[in-house]
Amino acid sequence: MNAATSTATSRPREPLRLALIGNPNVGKTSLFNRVTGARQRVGNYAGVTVELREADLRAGLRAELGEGRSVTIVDLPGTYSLTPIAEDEAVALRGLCGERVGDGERPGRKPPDAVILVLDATNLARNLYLAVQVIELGRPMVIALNMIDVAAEAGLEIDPEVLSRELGVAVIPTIGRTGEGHYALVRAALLAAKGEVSPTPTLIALRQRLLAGCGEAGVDGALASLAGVASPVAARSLLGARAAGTIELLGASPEVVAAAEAIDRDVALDAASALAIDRYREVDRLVAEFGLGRHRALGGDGASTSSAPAMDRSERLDRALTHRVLGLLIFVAVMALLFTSIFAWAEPAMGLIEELISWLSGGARGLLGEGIFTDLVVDGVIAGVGNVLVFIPQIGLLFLFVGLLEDSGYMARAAFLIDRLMAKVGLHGKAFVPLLSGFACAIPAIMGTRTISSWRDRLVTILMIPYMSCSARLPIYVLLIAALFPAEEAVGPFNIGGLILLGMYLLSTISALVVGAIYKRTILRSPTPPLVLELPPYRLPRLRNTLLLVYDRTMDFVRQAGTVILAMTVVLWALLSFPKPPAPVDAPSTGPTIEAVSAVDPAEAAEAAIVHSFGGRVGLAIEPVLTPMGQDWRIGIAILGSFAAREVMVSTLGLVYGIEGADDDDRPLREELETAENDDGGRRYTPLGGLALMVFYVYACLCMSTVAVVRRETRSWRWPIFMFLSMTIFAYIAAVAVYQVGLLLGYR
Amino acid sequence: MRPIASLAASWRSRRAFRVAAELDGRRWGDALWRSVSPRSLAELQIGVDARIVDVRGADSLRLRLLEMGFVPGTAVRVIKCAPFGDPLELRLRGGHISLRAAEAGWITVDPELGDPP
Repeated sequence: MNAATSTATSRPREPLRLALIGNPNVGKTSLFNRVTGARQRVGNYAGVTVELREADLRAGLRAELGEGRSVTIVDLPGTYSLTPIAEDEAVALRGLCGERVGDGERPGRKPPDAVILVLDATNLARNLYLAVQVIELGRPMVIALNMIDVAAEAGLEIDPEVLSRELGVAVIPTIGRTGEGHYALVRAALLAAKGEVSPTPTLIALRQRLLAGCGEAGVDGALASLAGVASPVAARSLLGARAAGTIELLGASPEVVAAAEAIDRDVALDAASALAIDRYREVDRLVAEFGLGRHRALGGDGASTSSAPAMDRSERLDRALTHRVLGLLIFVAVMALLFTSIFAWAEPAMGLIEELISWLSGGARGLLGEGIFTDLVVDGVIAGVGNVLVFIPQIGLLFLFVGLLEDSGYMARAAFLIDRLMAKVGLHGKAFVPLLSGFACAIPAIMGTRTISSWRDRLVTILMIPYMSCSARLPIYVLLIAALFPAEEAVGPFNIGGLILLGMYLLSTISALVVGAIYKRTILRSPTPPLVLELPPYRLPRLRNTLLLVYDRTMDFVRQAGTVILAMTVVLWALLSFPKPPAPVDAPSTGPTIEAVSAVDPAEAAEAAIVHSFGGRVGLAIEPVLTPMGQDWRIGIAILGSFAAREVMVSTLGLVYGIEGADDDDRPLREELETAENDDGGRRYTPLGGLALMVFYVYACLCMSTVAVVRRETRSWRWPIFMFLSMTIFAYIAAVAVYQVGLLLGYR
Repeated sequence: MRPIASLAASWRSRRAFRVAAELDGRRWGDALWRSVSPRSLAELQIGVDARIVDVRGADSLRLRLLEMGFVPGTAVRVIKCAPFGDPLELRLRGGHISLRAAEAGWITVDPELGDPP
């Protein structure tokens, strides 16, 4: 503590760093958003994927406080404890210790100058556990006693002064909704950060009592074996990490890791458990002795209502919302709404973006004239920007819903309701919403997996999502069904096309679940994560927070995945445009008659160009590979083109057949596919071939945006490449199997 | 199939206890339940107050349960179970927490010591 404060005062130019920590659902992020400006920076520590957000204290607030130095605030992940059982806790711990745990004052990120601990006044019996752990760390700290208004409403007896007196820490009551108390809180935090508050005797005594340990021989022995490499405080964290098997998350040096690994895991588990029990003893003492969080009307009405007053209203709501019949119906309705919103409501906005892009393209063409450079700008860059922007409505809507549901407390109930089914795959109930979103679009869905705290489970979910039949596959199914299956054919009351469509969706859903179950048991083997899930009280969601989340996620997508998508669009454009065909096509400027121009049909020119291009040649070259699944080189080119986005398959196939604008109206293309004949006079595209192609599209990862976003979320190329290869190979095998088995059975 | 069967079983057993309770003239189930306490939290009847006496668990599960407040001596009550029979909703330390029956099975509780959580 001393070292940190002395460096802080000796170098006045360096910004003061404050760290925000608290349980999930205590309004910590809301507080963060209120005291900082809009410009937030996202960072993360080596070896972990959980991100931290940091931002500067709002200039206005700083001026009001008369603070000359700039102040940086870090929003650490919400967590119930600092024992690094999972990534969230490890990141929070590292945020408080200065990046590395157990290396003393070795270089690394400087520990924060002060810690702001946010406690939920309605839930002190749980929140104080984290408080006790933060006190153990011994950083200068202040406590924000948040939701003090809600606690008062629920009839809870909370006196900030009593809490402050008993902990020996400044306690500032705050109200997240109105921003009340934030000024006093920041002022207190700055005083603590500058070392102007010396620790109270109460705090020192409390800390000493905590660090003295519980007097169990196992604990002391385990801690002693770490004494050589780490401070007593760090040794406790290392012991917890050893118990949970998560040493690698702490970013500690090899010597520290070796010393920790030398401790027997069972000994570490017992010791860490004893420490946890010991801390709760302290919490219970605080709660019981000082009447913190006691109901004011204790003994008044029935015991069942006064024992968890903050939950009374929620419990009444839950009678409907988690009811075994009604609750499920409401769940289905909420999910249907969420799904419809990204599936259908995003449509007009996406149409608008597409129109804007085509208007831009037209404008650019008019401005630049014809030429390769124009093509690069229009078909490469502008189209690439369009490919990025077109996802924004879906991402925005999904996160709007997810944010509101999360904030209101319903998301935890949704996980509670559906967990039984998700556990069959080996996943947590929280994986449900991202998977469902995958039916609309994999991009927001994959970004939505951030709510899943276990890294392996998150990865399994990310790898499952592209199997869900997204909305971009729909135009392909529709084209093929309409072209190759007679509309009047029916099985019983059901139209054959409808049945095939249903079949594709079923196939994709079942495949996703099976793939997830397989990954969970093989390459990403891990036990079904325990569902230790808090069901927080229902609250009115704060729209401001949700909108910030939407903005944040959208910008993150544009910056991080967008650049990759843009680059890939340009590369794909080059592949499908170069080399240029030998150019007799150029409209003769001297050509005086209309006939001469119309002889060079632009559609035919485009057809010639794409066939002659590198991509076209690849399409031709891979025809032997496509024959077993009943496809020809034209489809080959379309498959290559659809890597830009699956629905592009329709327009690429249109180009191959010399049909312009197939994506707007696929009727000419449909007729072309229906009537196209091979040299021997047979039908070029058979229903069986169409079925095989649809199955191929169910499985194939033909979407560079998905690849880009998986790279962004997993922070390496390893998983996106694995995903792309495994899905495409599997798609090929499945399509060949469908076609060949179909042939054997005598279908055509 | 299994959850439905187990739900049916638990409903049947609850009825049996209610009958026993009527005979006994006390709160339903109390007499019979008390004869076999302590038991696992997964077997605790809905709405019965109990106190945690022991927490076990493979790997880090024990540590996680302890850190979430399932420490010996803490009062707990099962509020309800989810529609498919699992997980459970528990009241503990003035808040609500959900656990699967598999995890709750590691926690031993004693209804005899129960106070409202």
